[in-house]
Amino acid sequence: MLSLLIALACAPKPAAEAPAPPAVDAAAPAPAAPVAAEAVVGQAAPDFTLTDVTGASHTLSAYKGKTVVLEWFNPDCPFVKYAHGQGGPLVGLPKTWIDQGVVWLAINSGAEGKQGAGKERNAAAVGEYGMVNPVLIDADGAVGRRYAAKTTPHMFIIDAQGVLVYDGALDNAPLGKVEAEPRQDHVVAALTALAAGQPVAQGRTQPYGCSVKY
Amino acid sequence: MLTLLTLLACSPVRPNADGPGDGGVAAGGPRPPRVEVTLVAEAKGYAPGQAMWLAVQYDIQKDWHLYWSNPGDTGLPTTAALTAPEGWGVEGPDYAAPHRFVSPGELVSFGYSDSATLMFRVTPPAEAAGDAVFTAAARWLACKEICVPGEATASLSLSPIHGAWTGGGLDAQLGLIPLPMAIWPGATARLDDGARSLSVDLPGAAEVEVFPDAETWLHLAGPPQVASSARGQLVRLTLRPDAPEGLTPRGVMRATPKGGGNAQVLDFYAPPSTPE
Repeated sequence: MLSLLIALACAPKPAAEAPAPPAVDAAAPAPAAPVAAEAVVGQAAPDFTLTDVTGASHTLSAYKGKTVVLEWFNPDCPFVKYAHGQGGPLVGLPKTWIDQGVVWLAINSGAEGKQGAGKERNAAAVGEYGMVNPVLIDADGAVGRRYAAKTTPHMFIIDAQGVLVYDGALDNAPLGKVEAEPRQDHVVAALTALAAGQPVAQGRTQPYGCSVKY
Repeated sequence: MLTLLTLLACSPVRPNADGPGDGGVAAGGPRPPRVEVTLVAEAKGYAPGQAMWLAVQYDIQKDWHLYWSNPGDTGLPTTAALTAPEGWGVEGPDYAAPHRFVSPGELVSFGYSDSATLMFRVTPPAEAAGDAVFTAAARWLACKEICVPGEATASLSLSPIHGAWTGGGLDAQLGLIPLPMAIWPGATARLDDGARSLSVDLPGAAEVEVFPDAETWLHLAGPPQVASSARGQLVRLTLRPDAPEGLTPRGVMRATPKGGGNAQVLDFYAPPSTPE
């Protein structure tokens, strides 16, 4: 049985004829100013440098020549828990591709104090989930905003030339429930195509999951 | 005779005791939200051959919300699958128009507070006889600061009515689902920029909200542009340059007439293509 509690930041903001604002709205932080996304499929992926939970620095452009996967991450988001939990679609997947030369970077853009945010919590999550890839901390959300990362997990793939070739969902099965048959593992399909020297057939899909906790 | 069987609805939810911690969740966990699902019909029975409306009604605990068919940036769609007796036609669901929610990071979602309604149109065969039992399997993600997925089933049994059949019991709910844009007096729609941009002119509208469907949402260049004029409201949705060929902006809109009156929910769609 799914027994999930999620800290999605979805404090309602009522439309004109909506009922009185729920109490949670008052507690919600003011939305940040919108920033136009710089990450566009088919164009050069925005470069960034972030530090992972072990203190190591990662610069995207330094990985040129390799395929890079970016996985927006929050260890306490139920969609992430499901994907990294027993039998989940992200269990073992990074390792499979890292073994084939792919770079896999998880990024947490949660602001300080938000659910699943911070170096300490994410360092613990690496052990809990048995993660073999680095978890990068983007506490001010700057990289998340440049990529317009919306959810956890929101997936991006950058090819060996540094071009963004995929922006979207991990698969079409949130919490393991397929939205429309057949099941589509979008990230696996894209990585498989790239490994075969083929173009990625579907460059954009709609990501699902918890909101990124900016 | 009306026979209403309703199986309520709340997925039993508790804090994930064996998970790696629910950071941000208060000690002891929040109380799980109550979402009660009922299946109701527009009439007390059915008349063979006569199409009728059924509504799946989600009553949502205060402060929580569910999501529209396009949840927007976050969340999951509310869904319902209706099982009808063999031989009956089933169309739907049609979703009530949503409201807009914004969370930090300018993440926009579409959904419902208080209640959500999904409508089905069912048609009995002309030779239908005996009680007809319907079951709706409903699924949702309920959110406020945290979110909890849930599912439930609700059933309804309708007997045949011989003689005068009177519908209309769901007129209030039908007012929430989209009608063709053409019912708005003087409404016009125009495609521009090689069919990448759709403008809808609603004369006499004081206010218009637009909710793009899921496919359009993914490929929009920005939020809907709404311009006021002496005449009414002009609404424009534009696709990103990399949107797939053949896709045109579509969704639903809620328009409020000048001088008051009830808001009208309309389809937002491209006009049928006409030969050059």
